[in-house]
Amino acid sequence: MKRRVLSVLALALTAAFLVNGCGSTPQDGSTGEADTGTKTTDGGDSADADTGTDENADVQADAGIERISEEGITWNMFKGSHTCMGILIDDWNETLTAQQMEEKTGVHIDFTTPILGEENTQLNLLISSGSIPDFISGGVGGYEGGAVGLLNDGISVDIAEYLDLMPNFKKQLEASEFRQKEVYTDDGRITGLPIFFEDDEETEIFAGVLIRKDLLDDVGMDVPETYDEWHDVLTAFKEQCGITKGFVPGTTGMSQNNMWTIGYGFGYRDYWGSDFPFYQIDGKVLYAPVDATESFRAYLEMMEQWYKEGLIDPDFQSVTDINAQISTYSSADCGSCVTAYSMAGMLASIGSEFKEDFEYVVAPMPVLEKGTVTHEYYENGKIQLNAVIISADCEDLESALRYWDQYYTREASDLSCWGVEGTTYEVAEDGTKTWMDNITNNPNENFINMRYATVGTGYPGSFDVGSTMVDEFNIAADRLYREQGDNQWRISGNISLLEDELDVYNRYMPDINTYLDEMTVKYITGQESFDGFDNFIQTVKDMNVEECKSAFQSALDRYNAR
Amino acid sequence: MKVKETPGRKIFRVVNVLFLTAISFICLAPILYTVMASFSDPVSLINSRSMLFWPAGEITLSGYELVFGNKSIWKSYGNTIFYVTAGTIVGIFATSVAAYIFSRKYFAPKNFCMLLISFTMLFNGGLIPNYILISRLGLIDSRLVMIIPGAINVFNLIVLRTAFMGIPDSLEESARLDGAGDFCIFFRIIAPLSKATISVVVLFIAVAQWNSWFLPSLYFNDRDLFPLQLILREILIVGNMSLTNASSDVSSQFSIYTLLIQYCTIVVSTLPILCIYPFIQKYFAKGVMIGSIKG
Amino acid sequence: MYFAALAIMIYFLIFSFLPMGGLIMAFQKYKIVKGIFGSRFVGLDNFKRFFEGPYFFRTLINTLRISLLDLLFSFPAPIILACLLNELRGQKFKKTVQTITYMPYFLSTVVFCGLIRNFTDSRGFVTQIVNSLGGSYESMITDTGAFIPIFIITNIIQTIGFNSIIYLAALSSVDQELYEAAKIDGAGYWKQWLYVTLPGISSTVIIMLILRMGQIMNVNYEKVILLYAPSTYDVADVISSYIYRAGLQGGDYSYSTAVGLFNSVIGFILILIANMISKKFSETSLF
Repeated sequence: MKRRVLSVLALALTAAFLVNGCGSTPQDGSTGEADTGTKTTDGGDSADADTGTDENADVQADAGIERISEEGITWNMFKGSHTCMGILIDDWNETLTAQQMEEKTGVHIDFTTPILGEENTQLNLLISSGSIPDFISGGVGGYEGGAVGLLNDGISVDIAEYLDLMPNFKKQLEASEFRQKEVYTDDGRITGLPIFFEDDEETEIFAGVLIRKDLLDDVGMDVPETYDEWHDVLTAFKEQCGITKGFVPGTTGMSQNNMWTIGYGFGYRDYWGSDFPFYQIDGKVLYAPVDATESFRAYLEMMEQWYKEGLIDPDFQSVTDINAQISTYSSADCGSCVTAYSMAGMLASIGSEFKEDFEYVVAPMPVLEKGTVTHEYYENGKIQLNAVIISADCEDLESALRYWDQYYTREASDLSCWGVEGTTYEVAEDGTKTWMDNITNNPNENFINMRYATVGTGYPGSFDVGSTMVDEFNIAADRLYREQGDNQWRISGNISLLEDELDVYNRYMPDINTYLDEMTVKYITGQESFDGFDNFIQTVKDMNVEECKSAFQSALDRYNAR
Repeated sequence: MKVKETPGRKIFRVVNVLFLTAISFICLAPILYTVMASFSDPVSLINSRSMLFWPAGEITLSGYELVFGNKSIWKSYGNTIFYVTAGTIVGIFATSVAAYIFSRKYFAPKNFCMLLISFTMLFNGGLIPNYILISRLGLIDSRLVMIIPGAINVFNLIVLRTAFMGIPDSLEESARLDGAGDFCIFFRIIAPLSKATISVVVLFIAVAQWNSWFLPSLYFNDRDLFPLQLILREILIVGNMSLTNASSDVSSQFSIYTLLIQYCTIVVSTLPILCIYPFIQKYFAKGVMIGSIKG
Repeated sequence: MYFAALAIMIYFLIFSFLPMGGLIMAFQKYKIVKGIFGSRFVGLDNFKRFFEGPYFFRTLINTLRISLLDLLFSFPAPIILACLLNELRGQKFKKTVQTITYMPYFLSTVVFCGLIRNFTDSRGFVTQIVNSLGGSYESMITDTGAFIPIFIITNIIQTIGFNSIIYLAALSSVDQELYEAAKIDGAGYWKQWLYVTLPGISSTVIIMLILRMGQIMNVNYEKVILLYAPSTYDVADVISSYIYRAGLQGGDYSYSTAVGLFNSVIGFILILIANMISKKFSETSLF
């Protein structure tokens, strides 16, 4: 039926854009929110030495929020939805931030918010039908070329040209080299207004290796550090506790976010998602199967061995969505996994129904030899680009720029991070801010929903990474991984590919990924014997992987040259 | 005259009943699971691995509380009822008129028209051209967009047309002899004789309207216009994300209630439409043609 | 009457044929900002990309295999169900069965597939039952041999009731007098079914079959994606799911339009063929 054909096509694209927008793609910064950062209260763990943040830039007094218009201007804005929409608020205008800003600046914003998950498609549709909103926040991941594409196609404005109209923004931008490197494109333009993090602090590492503490106690062993130790621990789990799902890898046998495989000396992310499986050493783009073939093979052989011994979950391929993941990781049978460790508490509360002392602890990424330094972990970066993009057709562009400039003042940043003093947060004598109970301990809602419903999200400005929950468990895990290594091998999500490079990548990479996915699973489950491994690698090379790599290489080179 | 029942026939009837009972149980299983799951304790539900004949863990209504606590649910129920009613009325009227016209033997271009129309069933320009069209017509964020563009569904058209073509010409001929005009024939003769098919098509249109969420997700930005399925889809979407692919505030997207809510939303969205079917069933009574003229 | 017909054709013109012009995207390198008429014409490039891809052949075979097997099993199923229901004498039982079988249709694919995965993985009870009956599956849902049966059987469960409705309606329009005449001629129940019932619903069956042929290339991609796994790509990866994964990077509307066009053309050709055949052998045809 017509409906079906339409649906097949459209759903394919819809879902494609949905997932594309969730991770970090090379073309645009991100469409998500910046949070779960941790500001350690001792204040020492902040700016990196090489960025040379001008500490004063964030703290000094500025004029406060200016009134933009007396009669009142209205602009329309496209803004992505969130899970709090429909439950706590119906429209982004209901947040404190929106209301306060409207009061103070005299500007009213009409929000167009598509249903959750459809931002990418909706933005494309809006643009294709010619009704481009004045401001865009979110949904950019689905546009061809991302934010840079929007700029190149003349849909958005190059903010670099108007820097003098935006003193607050300019001051924040020039506060550190790092910020300038990230925000400007390869050729010196600015695609959209970013969210700076105060002192350029990195957000929290949020995924890690979890292992069952209660089982470790049962078998009397310590948290393993090397793959050999892991083998012993998992074998003990199996033999002494009857665990059938010792370790649950990602759906293709490669762990997500490299947290499990990096110990072998290569980076390769589980493709099921939008991340690219390349890593870089000293600016050279690498792809594990062809550039680290020996290690890649060794890893697969180890996993195959473990699978044969029953140490790996036989259903690991089916653990694709949240429900399956929660269900698997929280079952009494699961010994370890790689996931967002903020879930550890919830997993424990579910699992404790069958085993009372069910508990997960964070384990370091396994390595071949004790003490090896690792070079990738997963966090959301030190800046978030393109929080707001301004359309070229925007009426009264000057006022619009001045309006958004207000968000970079101290007053507005506090507002969009914390809300209103006395209503949502309190300031202690030494200046530390804490959330008030109505936000953190709301019985019906979790903290993040409450936070978004109250102060909104995705506002440009200077974001106080400490305004997100400070959770002891997460802090400890974050510290563990930072001590174990650094993030040198990660390719920044802010590189941008040119149209030709994108064409090449999009043409060949999906097929390569399909092939890799299938083959890794077949090797691990023993369906395929390692005799044919060289053929496998040769086939990968024949699938034009070098061209994809060089596309990325050019983009990375341009990024490094900024 | 009664045909004697052979032993074979008796066995057939018994086997038939058994067989249909078995099929009913198989079809009932997922439904039963869904209903039982919706009343389950969220943690026990996540832990359950087998068929549920009874809610897992303690019986709780918290899933339903959360679903009905969604601010938009009641408004969207109302919206859906409007779309279904209006859409079905407009749809069945337009479709049956079209089917009637294209089923008359004396309507010369009928096969040509059907060919063209069948073409549209398979070939579609895709998301963007359709969106641009709707946008130019000014139907974005208008309730009419749920009713007008989809008014005639080709599949339904074909079904109705086939039914209308199956009515003997003699009936129409004699009606014309009596002086009846086109639409009189349609309303007084053809329609009553095709009650079964018409009620089936009514059901199809109503069900399609009830279930529709994709087109509203494209054409509606105003939450006040969202139909029920769209709101529920929003709730389901959350469960489809993956823990490490989503942005880092994972805990905002999943709570122990997510799985439970999904089952509750299904029950909430399906119950009303299930109630329509019994009303349609009575039109499938045998012997609709009794009393017609033998031709 | 002609006036009404004209109005109807105009309706189709506006809502169906006009957007169809967008199919030209299949022959372009479509860029949103340039629009449909401004994008560069690239001829058959998109199609070439599709045909020359390493997985073209496999996805095509998988699509056809799943579709044809599905046709073979889940097309007759509702017909048989309708006929069996028709033979029932107890009205209450008949109505109950009808209502129950009609229900699974409304289960959303997402949730239904979650259930299927739950029941057919290594610890699922369906796997255990099958294994106890002689099977030796570690996990059915990741087994290439079991994927297609699972897919088709669950399709049947979900659609048998709802799809039987139209056949029930057709059955009820069979002229009762024909049954009387057959009984007078001494026909038993079986002969009655063969010579009265079947021909009576034949036009409906034929039309449904012709329409079904047009859908050969459209395997429900959502269900495939929810059920497949890398180890079952060999049989499960169909054209629509493959395009979905390819579309995860960069949203190439031209490419997916081209593939969709390919599917539509094949479907339409099949409809034409089926229609021709049915015109020859029966009175019923689509056009």
